[in-house]
Amino acid sequence: MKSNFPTESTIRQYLLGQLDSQATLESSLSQQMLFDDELSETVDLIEEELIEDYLDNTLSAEDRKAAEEYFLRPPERREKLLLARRLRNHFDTKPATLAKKTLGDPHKPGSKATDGVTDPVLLAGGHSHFRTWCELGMMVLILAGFLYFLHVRNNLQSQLATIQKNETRLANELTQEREHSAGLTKQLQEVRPPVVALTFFHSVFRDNGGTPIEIKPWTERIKVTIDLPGSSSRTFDVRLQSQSGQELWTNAGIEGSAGNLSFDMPAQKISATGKYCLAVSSRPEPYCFHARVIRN
Amino acid sequence: MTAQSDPRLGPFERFLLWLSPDRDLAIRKHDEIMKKIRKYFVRKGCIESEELTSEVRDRVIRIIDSGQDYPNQDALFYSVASKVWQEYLRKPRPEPLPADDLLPISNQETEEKELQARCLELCLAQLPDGESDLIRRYYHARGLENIAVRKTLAAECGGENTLRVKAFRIRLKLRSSIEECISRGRVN
Repeated sequence: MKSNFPTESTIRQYLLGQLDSQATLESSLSQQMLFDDELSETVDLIEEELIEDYLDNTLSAEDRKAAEEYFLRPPERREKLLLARRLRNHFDTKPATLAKKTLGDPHKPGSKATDGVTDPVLLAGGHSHFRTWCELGMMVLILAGFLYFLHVRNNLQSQLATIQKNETRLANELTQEREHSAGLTKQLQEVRPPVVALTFFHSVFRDNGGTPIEIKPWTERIKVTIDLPGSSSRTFDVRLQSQSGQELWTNAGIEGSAGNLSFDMPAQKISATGKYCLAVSSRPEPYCFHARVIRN
Repeated sequence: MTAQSDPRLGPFERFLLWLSPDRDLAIRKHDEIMKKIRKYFVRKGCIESEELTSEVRDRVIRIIDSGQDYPNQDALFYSVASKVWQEYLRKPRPEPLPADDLLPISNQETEEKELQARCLELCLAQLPDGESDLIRRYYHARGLENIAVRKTLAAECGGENTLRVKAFRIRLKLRSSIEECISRGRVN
């Protein structure tokens, strides 16, 4: 502080309006405070301390009265007083630590104003209510989140149950369809048998002009049975020939049983109506078993 | 100093030119001097400091516009401010309203105070660690019952005076950031 500066006590008196009766001193101090930045800062500091002393209730009765009737009248000083109160309130309710935090938009709903309330208990209560509301808000959020989770879980369970039910129903329908399909196939086979029998009896094969056989479009195989009385078990070669002698199908080494030869022949080898010869090499000279085929 | 260079200039422009030929510097000087004049009235316990400050500026603008030569700017401002203050004291005024605390608080005021409280929280949280720690300990240690704690803190800070100045500067910074926060809040 410069040597020509007024004392702290004089500045306090000036700020409390207690020098108004000493016009010259008051005017001189006003001018000095106006243009000396260092003195001006000191005066600001003493102003702050007057406010702190006022809030601490450490001013004398006379100074307190002067503070209320003069010093604290300008709105600018009332703002300073409010800030000092808020700071005290803040540190009274949070004495241990000052947590660093970002509070975000000051417009968001939050704490209740406590200014204007002079009772420290009430001031502390304002912040504690704010905290309680925050905690309640958090609890409501957590509860809402839990309820939402339950709701989603129930929905998923319900959807899963519906899917399982549909799956069972479809499996039953599939089984029924398969059974139905098998029944239809059986019926179809009964109506349209894929196999027709062609049996040659040794006693008649040469004089009847051919054993008749009807091949339908759905016929797949011809089950041939040739009666060979007196023959022993051995192997036979079989050839299917058209009337013109063209070989249509052969099968060598067919095992024959005593007096009988059985084998399957593909129906598609006989493409047209007519007479065919099934030559069996069972003897020194082959027999030709004649078939009279009607092809539909 | 005079501001007679260009007759086409308006009174305010002439006033700025009188403050400084550099327009940006003139505007800065204008803002600084207005702040000081306002403080001058506040320190006198005036509740209408803003109006009186505007009155001082208007009168100085008129004086400069009239072409009078006033090289000492501070002296002119002080003499005009002093005159305005004397006139203000002589004016009859109605009884002052009761203190704010005694008036019923309107909804708008409540909202404003809520905004102020939130801004305080925000600005305190944004202080650098050292400052936030010092202001917390300063307030924690205040009062006669904590005088020993406060002395310890003062010793740590280099003396009682240094502690006062440090705490004062932190409060000044806080007030400025709170004012900024509040004006942002009002705009939003």
